[in-house]
Amino acid sequence: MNSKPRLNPDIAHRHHRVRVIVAMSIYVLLLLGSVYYIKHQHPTGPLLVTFALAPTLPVIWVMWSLYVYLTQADELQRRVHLTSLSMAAGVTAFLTLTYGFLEDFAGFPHIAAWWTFIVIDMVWGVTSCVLWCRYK
Amino acid sequence: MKNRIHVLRAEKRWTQAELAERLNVSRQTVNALETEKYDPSLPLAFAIARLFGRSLEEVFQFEAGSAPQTSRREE
Repeated sequence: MNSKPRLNPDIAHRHHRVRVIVAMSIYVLLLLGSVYYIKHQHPTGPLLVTFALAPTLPVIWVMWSLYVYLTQADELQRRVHLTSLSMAAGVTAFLTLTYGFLEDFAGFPHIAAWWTFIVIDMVWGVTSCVLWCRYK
Repeated sequence: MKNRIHVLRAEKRWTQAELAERLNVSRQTVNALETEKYDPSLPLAFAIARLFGRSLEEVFQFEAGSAPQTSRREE
């Protein structure tokens, strides 16, 4: 990563936030559209797979945006985000492992894998807020 | 680690946002530096000292007990 940020980190953060809001709005629209189409039109084969995967496209954009932001962020922003992302990854890995055992050995109901995305995002959000509070 | 960033910034009559702009860091980072909740990296510390036209020692003062863990282990 470049040690000298090109764009001012505050502006880079604002750009990233706008990109995430736009991408997640598209995500919601694609998700609702895909669910509606699959439920009512019952597509099969490659078309079904295409509609099932359509909502992931804006998520790729969010990941790219995050990468761009982290290359332009200053050292404290980078530290907070990477620390909170590591913590979120650790907590999510532990939770999915634990629930996987409960599912397999204790007969707990099945939970779809996409919940991993929700859990990691939630834990990431909370940990980055907590970490930022420490520096205020 | 103690620092005199707040005093030096006040002398220049810069806002936190202006200092952040000059250092190419976020305003939150300037605030964390001034409240001494975050110790900057060596390149950023040098950039701050250079911006104020001071030596590193004039801006940052090392305090006993604030050594990083690696130094503590060596003691």
